[in-house]
Amino acid sequence: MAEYRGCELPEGLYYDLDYIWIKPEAGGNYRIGIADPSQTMAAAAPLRRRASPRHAGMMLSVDNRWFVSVAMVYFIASGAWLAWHGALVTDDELRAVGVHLFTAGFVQSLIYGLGAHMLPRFTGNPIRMGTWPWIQFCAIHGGLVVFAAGIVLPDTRVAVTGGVLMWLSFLIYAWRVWPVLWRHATAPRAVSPAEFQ
Amino acid sequence: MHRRNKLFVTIGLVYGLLGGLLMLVRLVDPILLPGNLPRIHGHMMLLGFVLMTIYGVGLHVIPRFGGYPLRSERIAGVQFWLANAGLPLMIAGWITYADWLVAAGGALTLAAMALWGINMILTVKLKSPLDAK
Repeated sequence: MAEYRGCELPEGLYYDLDYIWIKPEAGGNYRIGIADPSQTMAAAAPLRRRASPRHAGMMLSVDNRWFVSVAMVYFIASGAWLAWHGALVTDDELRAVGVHLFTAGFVQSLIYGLGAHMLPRFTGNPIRMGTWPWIQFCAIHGGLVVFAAGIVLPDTRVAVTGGVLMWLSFLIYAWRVWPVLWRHATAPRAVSPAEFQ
Repeated sequence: MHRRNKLFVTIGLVYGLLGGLLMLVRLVDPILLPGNLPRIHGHMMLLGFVLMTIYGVGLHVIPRFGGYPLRSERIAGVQFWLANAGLPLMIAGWITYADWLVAAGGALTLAAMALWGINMILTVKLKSPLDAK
């Protein structure tokens, strides 16, 4: 066996510099595997808890999936509004409902979901998680329903209540995103046991 | 992420907060604030929040997705100032009912949109860098 950096490498296996090996086999096939220490490390590595502020997988987190999915529901609903009223921006007293179905329900919710997903990956800074995205989610969508009800009834107090909820959702989003943009990316730190499952 | 792109996103957040607050105030007391508030609210949310966010995120990701560097950092810098001069002028025009201010701000906003679009077209290109090899 050859030895590299203290590791014994079987003859006939091609290693890359790290953990992958490739073994030529009959018929021009190649078997690909990972080294024993790597398998051991992978098996021993604890899973990162998704709620951890340091978690940064490539796929959307559950909260962002909800933002994007519900945005699509509002997208379809605003299309239905368009068909029903003949225009998204109408001249009647329900104008604000049609406009906000599209802008707040679809556009804003989509930006919430994609922004919270992409910006931490662009800057290397974690985003505030925990219950905050869910409060933000309930505020935007609950607020939009209440706001629309206030316009339809019409009842100014109900509309204002919905508007305040929608604005609070924006405030929470800004509060979550601000440190993502303006805190310097931190060096990897030791992760506390509480962040593991 | 480039500081300019982070500023775009941050300014978008500020416009979103202010635009929402403005309309809340109008809902509570329609005559408290002067100007064409629904129009200001709409443009603060669309040109302010949505478009500034698209500017910032787009300037960051489109060069990476396209495989080519941003065609012109200088154009992006000029576009940043045009966008952030245009919208406040338009808002000032709607508050004071001064059409010439709205027109001036609109011209700057249009210039920013055109510069961003051209910069993106020249950055993305129609041929992948993988095909060129």
